[in-house]
Amino acid sequence: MEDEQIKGDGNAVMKLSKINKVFKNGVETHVLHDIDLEIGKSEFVAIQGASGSGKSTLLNIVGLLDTPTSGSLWLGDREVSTLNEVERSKIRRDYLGFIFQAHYLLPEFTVLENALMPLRIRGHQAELDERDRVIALLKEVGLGDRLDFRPHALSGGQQQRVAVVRALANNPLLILADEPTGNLDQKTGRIVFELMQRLTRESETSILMVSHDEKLAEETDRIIRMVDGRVGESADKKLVL
Amino acid sequence: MFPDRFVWSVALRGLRGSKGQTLLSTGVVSISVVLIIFMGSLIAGLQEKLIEDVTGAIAHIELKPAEREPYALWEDATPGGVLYGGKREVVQQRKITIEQWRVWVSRLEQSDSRVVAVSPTVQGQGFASRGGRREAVAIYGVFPEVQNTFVPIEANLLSGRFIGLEPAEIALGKKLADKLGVGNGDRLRLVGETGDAASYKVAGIFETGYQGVDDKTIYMPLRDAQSLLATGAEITHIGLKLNQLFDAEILARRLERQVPFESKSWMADNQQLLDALTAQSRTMRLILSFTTIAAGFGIASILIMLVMSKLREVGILKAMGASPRQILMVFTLEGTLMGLFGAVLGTLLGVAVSWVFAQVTTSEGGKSFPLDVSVSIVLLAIGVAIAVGFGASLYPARRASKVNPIEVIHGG
Repeated sequence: MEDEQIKGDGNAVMKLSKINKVFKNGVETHVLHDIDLEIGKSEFVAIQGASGSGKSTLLNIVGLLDTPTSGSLWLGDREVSTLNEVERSKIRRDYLGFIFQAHYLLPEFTVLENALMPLRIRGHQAELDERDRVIALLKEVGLGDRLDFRPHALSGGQQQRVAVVRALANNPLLILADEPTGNLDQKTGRIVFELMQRLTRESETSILMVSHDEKLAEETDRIIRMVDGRVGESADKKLVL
Repeated sequence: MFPDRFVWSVALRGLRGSKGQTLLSTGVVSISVVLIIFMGSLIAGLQEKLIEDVTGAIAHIELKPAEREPYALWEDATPGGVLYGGKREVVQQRKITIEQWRVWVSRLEQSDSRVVAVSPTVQGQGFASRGGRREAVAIYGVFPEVQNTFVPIEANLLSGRFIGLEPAEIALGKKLADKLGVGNGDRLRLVGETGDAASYKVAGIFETGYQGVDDKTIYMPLRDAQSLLATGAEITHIGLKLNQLFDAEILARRLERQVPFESKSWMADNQQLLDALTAQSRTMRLILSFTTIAAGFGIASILIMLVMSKLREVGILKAMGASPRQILMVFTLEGTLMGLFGAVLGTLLGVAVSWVFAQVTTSEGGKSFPLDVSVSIVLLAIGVAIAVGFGASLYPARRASKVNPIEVIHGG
């Protein structure tokens, strides 16, 4: 029931309506102003903006790591902005994936175990059910011979590729990526980006990516430019094209 | 409610990945466990030895006739019921004896399940002499086979016999025999407190290790003592041996209201010793409590360091959907496992150290450290260690479960 509601039957995976975020640390800082946004199924969206424009805060709210001060947030047909911490954990576990600037792989676990971690959090059966698919993904990204390696034995690019597979392990509706190529050199960054593009297209997963890299952003389906906590400009290149 | 595969794997890998901290906390706990096992066993052993020294050669409860106020039947509401009701009677000064003692012995044997033996005795003072030597002695007229359950004489015979003493035969301690210069088969003259005298054959010489027994006690058949001490067919004391040593005082107080005799437990005679033992136990518990608390703080601070070093990993796990409860369980499991590892190591070390110390002997062949390593003290130490590990982990685990992924992943 919940699963059907979240997957919904519309085109939007995630919908934001009049989202505001105010931080109160002695002084009030209004970080996000009346954000309205929709992310479609299998859509690859880039968020760009100057430092302090609110893009990371927006990513946190969409990723259910933070709550909006006002406004509503919908995952499929289910409103998720009012959920408590435990419920938000479950939604993140079952429907969202994360890629960060640093890979944040767990050093005590092997490549395969790291990639399976979101499924292990969900339960043993989920891990068993999806194990073969995750191994296939790791092979697809060229890490088939590194399954039992520890993260420290991999290069930076390989580590980030494991992080990409980990984000896809639970077959998420939406992946939140925060500067996923930020720590990589240009060539490796491009390889990881293309991998994200390809794998998400094949798995019908949407991506919301914060990136400073103009060239990479240009290759996404849409760029959202944030200015002072507002969506300043949205360029839908699919439509343009 | 129970840790799932995710929790187990993160906790176990976390402990393996932080070998230094794991070994450190295991060491801290194991020292506590060693202390609990060694100190606990030493104190228990010492106390057992002291109690054994005090009670090993005496009746746990001794009944003897006394002038007393009879107890009204209706005033008694104690379990076991009333065995006696009578009128006040003042017995005139002479050797006060217990009449109809066979009936009382039989009743007392059935009066309580804790009573394992009842020994009727005739006790008195006297002198033993042989040649020019003369020694003050305590004369005990007994049924040897019954008395042997109170004082282990048969097993400590150096020569002759105790069980099976014939009329006009006596058994005495080696020290007394040496002082009098008698050996097995020699004859000894005894004078009772009433002035009656007779000659007896030494049929057994023993060395029990109890000074009071070996130094001045002479055992003879009950009938001989009745004759020597002029008690007629009666006796002077009834001794009770219990299977619950420390119930002696309670039972003695109850018997006082059930039988027409003065009832005295070994505990009443040794109150100072018991107070000292209680104080010793309290002091030991205090020391071990502080040790345990110190170990708890040790684990807690190690776990806090562990949590602080893993904040980012905790953050990413929470971002991926690990619930606060799962994170809480990861760290409480780590703490509990640290306690368990410490318990296992500490138990092995504690038992080994205790065993080594238990082998040390004094120049007289006795044990320097009378250690009594019991299963209960080992289980207590293991339980305490695991509880300390779990308790100490609660605060760090709670902190970890409240980690905000945004703060640790994005760096604020």
